Amino acid sequence: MLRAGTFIYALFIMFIVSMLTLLFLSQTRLFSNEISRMQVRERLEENCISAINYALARPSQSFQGGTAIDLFGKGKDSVLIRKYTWGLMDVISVRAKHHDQQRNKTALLGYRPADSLKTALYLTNSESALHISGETRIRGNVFLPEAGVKRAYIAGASYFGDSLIYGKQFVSKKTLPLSINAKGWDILGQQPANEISDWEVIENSFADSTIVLTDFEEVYLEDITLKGNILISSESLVEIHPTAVLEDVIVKAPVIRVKKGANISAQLLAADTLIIEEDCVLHYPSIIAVRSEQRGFIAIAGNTKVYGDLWYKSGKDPGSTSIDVHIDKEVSLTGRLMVERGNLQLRGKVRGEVYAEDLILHHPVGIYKNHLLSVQIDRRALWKPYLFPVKARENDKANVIKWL
Amino acid sequence: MALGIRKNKAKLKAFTLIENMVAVTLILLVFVGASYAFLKFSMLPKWQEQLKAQSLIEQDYSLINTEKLTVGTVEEQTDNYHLHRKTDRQAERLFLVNYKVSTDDRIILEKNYYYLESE
Repeated sequence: MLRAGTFIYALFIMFIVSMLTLLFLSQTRLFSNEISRMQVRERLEENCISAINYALARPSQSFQGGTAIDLFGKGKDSVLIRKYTWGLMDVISVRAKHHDQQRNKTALLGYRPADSLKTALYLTNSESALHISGETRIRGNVFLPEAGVKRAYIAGASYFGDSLIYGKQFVSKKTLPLSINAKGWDILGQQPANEISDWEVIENSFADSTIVLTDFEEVYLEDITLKGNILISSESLVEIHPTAVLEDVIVKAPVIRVKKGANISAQLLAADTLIIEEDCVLHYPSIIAVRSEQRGFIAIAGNTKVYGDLWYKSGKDPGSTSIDVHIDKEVSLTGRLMVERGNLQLRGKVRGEVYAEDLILHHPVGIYKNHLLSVQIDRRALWKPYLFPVKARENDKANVIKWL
Repeated sequence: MALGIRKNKAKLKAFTLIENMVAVTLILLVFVGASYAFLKFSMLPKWQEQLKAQSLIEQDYSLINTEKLTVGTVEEQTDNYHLHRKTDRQAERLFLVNYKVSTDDRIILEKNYYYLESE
């Protein structure tokens, strides 16, 4: 006959064994699930990048409204791709999904010219030749008027250099080979707007809808941090002070003034006048743009560094001697400088490309047309995979400039 | 006599306690052994194979650049793994890269990537 204690003892052992078995099975299941989830997460991440590559190789107007595709045609890799404009730049956003797991990736796009010409200067074909003087250096290929390039003698300074152009020379056309799509600029601010108040820090992801901070009167950005998917707009003036931290945002107003010493990364889109004072740094990828129905004006003062593109376009032909875009001495612009229907006075240094219809030089001794005095334009200084923030030509090739 | 009985009872109790502890320890050992055997011979090899295959693919894909990328098939043998890479041009700058990692008898992992020519 078995004693009651033996039965309880057997039950106790069974209990311990079943608990341990249960623990073991749950742990194995948990590991298994975690490993599967990890593998799926990794695959979604890879699919996002594959989807972006896939979309970038397609024509730019594809995926504008958002398109879902089966990435590899096997029914397992579903992604949603959407391309849209962010001011003068383009954004691509993808979402890869697998059951309850999903991964999003968003990136700002940049562009590289389809040709391998590495154009340093494109000056449209007018009757006047390009005249260079002083310590001007043009490195890279150039497109110039039929009259070509000549040495000039300005206020006692002749041209110092072995060669006039350090690159190949071609004849330019009467119009600039630019086709900048400003649709993204026009549709800005159609979202519901918020009044600018005393916010100090706003960071808004590109996965969320745009925050629009707007005011009919002057806006002074001081002691404020604005990052990401934010549009700051005013009906009169926006003034950016050195205490403002701006990153990836858009500033849109008729007049924009960046005060001395500011350090930002933004798209500055002005409908009339854009002034950047001394000692500012506009980090890559920044855009300085004026698109005016009348005659706008851009001025960049000395010792300022710009990493990005500058675009000027006016609705009226420039006066014969007016300055519409003024790049002062000691200014360094890394990127592309494009002036359509305006006179460009270039005194600083451009590491990249210059597109202009007319160059002007105001000097104490006189006003000179199509003259460059001690100007540096160096296309070769741009590193090989450099991407310009603005798509300037239809066949420019897109790539990711920055992950958001 | 009563003292002798008490001593015997105490000895028996101590013996039973030791017996029980030995029994429980043995059960635990058997359990740990079974768990180890289960992981060693059923789950771990599968996970290890997949991780190895994944790392082989990632290593090869990270070395791809535009100069090296050629349309066609490349096969490599690493340890006991057979890496098969097939590249097709999909558009002007776009390549579809298909990877299969297999051992002698079965495919362990298959992956696809779209590669964008950057230069």
